[in-house]
Amino acid sequence: MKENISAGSRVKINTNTFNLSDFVPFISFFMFLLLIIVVFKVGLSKVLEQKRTIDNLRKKESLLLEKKNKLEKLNSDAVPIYFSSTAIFLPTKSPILNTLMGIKSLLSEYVLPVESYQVSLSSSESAGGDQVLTDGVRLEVIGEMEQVLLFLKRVENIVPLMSVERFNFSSEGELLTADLEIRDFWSPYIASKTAVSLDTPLRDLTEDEKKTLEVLSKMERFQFSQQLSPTGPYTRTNPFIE
Amino acid sequence: MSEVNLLISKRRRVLSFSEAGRSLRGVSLVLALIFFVFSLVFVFLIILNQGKIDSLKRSESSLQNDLKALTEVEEKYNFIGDRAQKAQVILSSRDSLKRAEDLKSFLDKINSWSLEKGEINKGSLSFSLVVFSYQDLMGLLSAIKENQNYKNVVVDSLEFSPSSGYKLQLDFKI
Repeated sequence: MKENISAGSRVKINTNTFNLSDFVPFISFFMFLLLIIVVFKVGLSKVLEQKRTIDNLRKKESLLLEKKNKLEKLNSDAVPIYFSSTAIFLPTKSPILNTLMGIKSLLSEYVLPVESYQVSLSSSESAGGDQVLTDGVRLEVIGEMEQVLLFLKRVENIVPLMSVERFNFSSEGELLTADLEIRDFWSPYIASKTAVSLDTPLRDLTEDEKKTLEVLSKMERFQFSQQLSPTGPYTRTNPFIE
Repeated sequence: MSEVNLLISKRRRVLSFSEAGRSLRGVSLVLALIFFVFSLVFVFLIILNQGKIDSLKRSESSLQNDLKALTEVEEKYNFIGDRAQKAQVILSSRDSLKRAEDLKSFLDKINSWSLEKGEINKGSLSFSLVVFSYQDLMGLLSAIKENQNYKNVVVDSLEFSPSSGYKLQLDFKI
């Protein structure tokens, strides 16, 4: 639009190529671009880090939940069924007294007189760790072959776990003189060795181990003591009242 | 106020810088908008995720407390596992009674015999016996042949006497 310039009117003459204010849009453009890059980079890395944390926490949560459910189920079925029996069939301390009592009961049941016997013990200190240890009972018995075999069969079918290691015999007519070596087993249990952190998954028992537990739970147990049932209550007579 | 440009036309082109600047204002505005939208979205996501993390941590802590209460059960279960593992090894290593049962199964196949002596150890069985007739001897040998439990069966000695019969010394190895 043309303007008439008359005398006395004020005229601005532009002689400068650049104004400082011309840079402001450029500065703001680059500043926002930079801010977007920074926000994107920082925000994205933070969100991704949170996503990783959430994934890890979810995994851990499902692991803990699974373990909790499993333990609650075990607490209501397997543990009460098997715990006491496992502590008996393979005890943490030498079961030699129970072994001797069991053998003695069986010997009298099968009418097998003992000529001699010898007991050898193993100590946990000498072996160390939680490995399986054995005590040995060596017996010399006299009896019929059939009776000796029945006795040995019963020995391997009672708890604590026992094993017939050796069975040497010589025969004199109908009777055998049998030299037997029977071993019992025990193993110290080091709880701290097996104690694990809370988020470590439980080891499932293998099928063979489950079968073993089934077999062991059906094994015969000797009752060495008789539980007396309580009787009474009795009425007390007062000696001061006629 | 009027403005008079006294710059030569070549120099005027340089002025496009300021015109470009003016047009960049719009772009800057868009960038500012994007920046704010991005910032808001990220802040929203971060707050949302933090909420999830806090909730998951609370849940984890509660589960850990539950598991601490079940530590005794876990200990007992580990104990059962430990015993089952060891008992399995013990049961699989028990062998002598099987050998004794094999001996009994051999003797059940014959009518008359007299056992003299024997040794049963893990993985081995040896015995000497006297059988009174040839039929019993054949019966014993066929019973041994039928039994598949042994890799080696060695007849250490075989004696015959018309008065007592056949005296055998046998050695079995798994």
